[in-house]
Amino acid sequence: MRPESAIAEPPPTRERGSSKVSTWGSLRSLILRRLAILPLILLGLSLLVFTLNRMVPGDPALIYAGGPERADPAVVEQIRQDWGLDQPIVVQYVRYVGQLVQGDLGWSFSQRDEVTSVLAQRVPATVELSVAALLLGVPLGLGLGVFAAWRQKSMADNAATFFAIGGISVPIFWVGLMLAYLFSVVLGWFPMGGRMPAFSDFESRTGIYSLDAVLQGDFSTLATVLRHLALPAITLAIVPAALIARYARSSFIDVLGENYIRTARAYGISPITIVSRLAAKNAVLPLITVLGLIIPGLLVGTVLVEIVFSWPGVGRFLLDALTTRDYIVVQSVTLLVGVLYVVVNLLADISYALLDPRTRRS
Amino acid sequence: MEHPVDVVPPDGIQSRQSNGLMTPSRGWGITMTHVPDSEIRRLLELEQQGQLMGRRGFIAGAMTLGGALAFGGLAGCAGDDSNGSAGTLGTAPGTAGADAMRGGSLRLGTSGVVFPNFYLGTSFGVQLVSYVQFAWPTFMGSPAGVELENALAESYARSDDGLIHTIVLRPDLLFHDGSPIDAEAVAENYRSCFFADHPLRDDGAYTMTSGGFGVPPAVDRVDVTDELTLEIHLTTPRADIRDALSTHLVMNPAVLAQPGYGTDVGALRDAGSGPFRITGFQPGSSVEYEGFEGFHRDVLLDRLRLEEIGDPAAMGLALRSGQVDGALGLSKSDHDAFVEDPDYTLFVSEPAAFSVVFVFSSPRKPELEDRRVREAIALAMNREEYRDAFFSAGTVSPSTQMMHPSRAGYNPDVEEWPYDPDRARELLDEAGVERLSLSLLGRPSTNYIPELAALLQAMQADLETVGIDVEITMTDPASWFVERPNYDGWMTNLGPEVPTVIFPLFFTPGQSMPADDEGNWPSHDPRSHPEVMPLMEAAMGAFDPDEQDRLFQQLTQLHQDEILMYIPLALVGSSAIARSQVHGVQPWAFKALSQETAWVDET
Repeated sequence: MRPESAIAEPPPTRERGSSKVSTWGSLRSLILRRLAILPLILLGLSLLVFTLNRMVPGDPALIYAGGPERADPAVVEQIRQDWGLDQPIVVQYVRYVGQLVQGDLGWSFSQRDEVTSVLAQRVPATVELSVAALLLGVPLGLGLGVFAAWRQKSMADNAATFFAIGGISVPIFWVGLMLAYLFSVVLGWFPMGGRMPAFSDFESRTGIYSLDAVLQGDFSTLATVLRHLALPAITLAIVPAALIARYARSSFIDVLGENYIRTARAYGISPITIVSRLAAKNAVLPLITVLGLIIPGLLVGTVLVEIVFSWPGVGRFLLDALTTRDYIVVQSVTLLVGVLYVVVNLLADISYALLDPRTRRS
Repeated sequence: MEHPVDVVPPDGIQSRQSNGLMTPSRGWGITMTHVPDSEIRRLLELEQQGQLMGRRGFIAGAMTLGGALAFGGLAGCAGDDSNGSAGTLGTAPGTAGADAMRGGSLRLGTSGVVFPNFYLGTSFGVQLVSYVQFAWPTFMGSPAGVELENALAESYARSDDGLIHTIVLRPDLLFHDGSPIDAEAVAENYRSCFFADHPLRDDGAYTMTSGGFGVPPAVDRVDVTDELTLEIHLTTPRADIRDALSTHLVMNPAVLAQPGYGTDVGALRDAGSGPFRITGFQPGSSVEYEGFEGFHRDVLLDRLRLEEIGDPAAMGLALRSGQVDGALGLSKSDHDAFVEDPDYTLFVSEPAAFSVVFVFSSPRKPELEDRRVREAIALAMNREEYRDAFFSAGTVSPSTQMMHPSRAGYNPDVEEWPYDPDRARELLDEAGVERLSLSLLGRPSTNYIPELAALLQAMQADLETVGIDVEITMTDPASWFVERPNYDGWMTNLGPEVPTVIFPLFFTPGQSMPADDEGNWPSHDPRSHPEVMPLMEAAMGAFDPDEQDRLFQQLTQLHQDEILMYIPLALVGSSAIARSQVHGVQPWAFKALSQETAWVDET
């Protein structure tokens, strides 16, 4: 039996009311600070992307008119005038920023539609794919990282590290093609392309087919949607899983080496309890930051997966816009990604502050 | 604030713990910096009672089992994902006395073809003679033997002065909403193309109009003389406008009046005039059709789908996995492997569709201004080896000139350049060229040049054997358009278009090659040759088709003998690989029959 004196009394706690006020106050100022600098970030980003776009050779008016073999020079010139491309660069930029301020992302000449309208068609597909990849990749990466940290310097650790490094290093399109070959061609378990089978009459309301299937209570369709989603999601999940595995391993090794963990072990608490109840809450904190970088990157990093699996998402759309020099689309999507990075990182920081009082105090 | 903590573990060993870490408790946000006794006791009690492990183990086990069941269930739902269907038993069309095959669904994979919209003013390229024709067949056949059997027009005539061109439609044609395709509907389509202020005109480039009729179009008006007859009145005499009209679609005017019709499936469903009606459209990704029973020719398929697959390797896997029934735009290695596989059939367009040519462009290299140097380059290229090594099996044949064999201006007397590196070295010696450096610009492979980078490297190796160093730069298509005048040469492919389109690409100002600052053309530029411009003007303005043909043939011979600013490499046919159960597929070409003859045998 342990002597009572060996267990120290907890220090007096501060008044809960004042702690709560201080917490929310610091969070509010954090949010306001971040939101205040967001326009500056976007302005700088828009200027950078606008300039780089104009520096790359290629004439969107010429491409729109059918290329040099087909386009009449007079038609090309008229298009340039209609689009304002004959104006000085500064005028074009000011006009673009003015549109942005009014919430107008511009008009895509390659799609002949408003950028917001085109994105509204494409974003749900990418969101669905990205969420699926996260749901697969985060638990996998976390599990691998924890496992490697607990079995540090063992064969299991080496294997997990091999997977993590391999996952980061191997070209994702190669992985996709290999998975497609194995599971679609050889085994025939999963289809390798598109979101739905050919000639499907499924009507989507939200653009996220899995959600629509659930809302409609159509579980047969849900199974079909998930089957089409499986291979691209698994392919896309590999990089986040590998990154998270590496970070989780490192973070858990740090935390598992702490004295209080050693104490818990000395008390005979089981490893699973130690990891999940004692270590995780500290070790997972750095991963929030990593997720804040992974999530926005997934949304535009899906291009290779979308090409291999014929997934009609934002990545492919952005690539098409680049090859056709659809400046407005490239600029607008880049800005949206910038906003996404800022917002997601802000949410990550807020989460961090909520979870770790030391951050709030600082 | 840190608090040193004395903790006595059960074995009596005493240790001190002082750290700044947040220690966990029941909830987040507790600022204690030590292991709370209550927490440890609680956890120990739960473990001793088996509750913690039991609950945790149950959850972990349930999740593992659930995940396995989900994966297996999804994989096990490996029913026919194709939504394909068999056709009625029968025999192939065209067999004397046989019934035609009816029904069936066909899914075709393609690359870089599906456009983001179907607006009338869109500058369709190869799409015009491919999938666009499924719903909107080319309006009329063109001269020189490239007949389009599913064309909407029945006859064509022009006045003696070449100003009035009369077109008679086939009777009983229907748009896909059941409304008649009459002369007024066709006239409205043309008026929206010819006249910028027409209410049905969209904001497209209307390149097919500018290319066929000039800017502004040399059209005075379009009159309707009876239900099936319309007259196009020109401002400038033309011998024949069928080729120019062949690139114009005929859409339902009622749909043209609807804003946003180009991407609206509901509108597009009623807009067509061809053998297939659009039933689904994902811009840039896929188009789905159903057979239109009101078409004036038999349509065998029930359903047809065109799917964009951006990667050639993925295209091959899609065909093998059964995601598609046929594929266009396979990589050469996949294509050749499928050709050898008895489970698949090769379909090649006849005649071959595209000419692949190497074009000289640089005004910067004085050596290239000597025709002997250009001839040496032509002789140093082993074109037969290139065709065998870098083009898909069964699709390629020798080429002697840029004009298509089916077109006016094709000169049957022009022969292919031989492969003769010894003669090439002699010519370079005669020209006084000891060592020459060339810069070539390439772009990503296309359907018609599937191994472009490798082809350029082969050319590089061949030219090095005769003392010509080659530097290759690869770039994206948009940059390629702009950058190519800054290089010494590039590869391109030309479609089977009329000579009035092809010849100006190489022989008239404003196309491809710029003059120097003083407006002088380099000596290898055709425009500097004293005979070229007079011949071009005469040919472009010739009223008699035979005379026009003769003049363009003369230009072709002149180019071969004296100018030589492009080197033809190959004549490439459009090809498709499909499962052996698929029949009658028509790869894109100007002889496209819009897959009306395609059918699928699933027996």
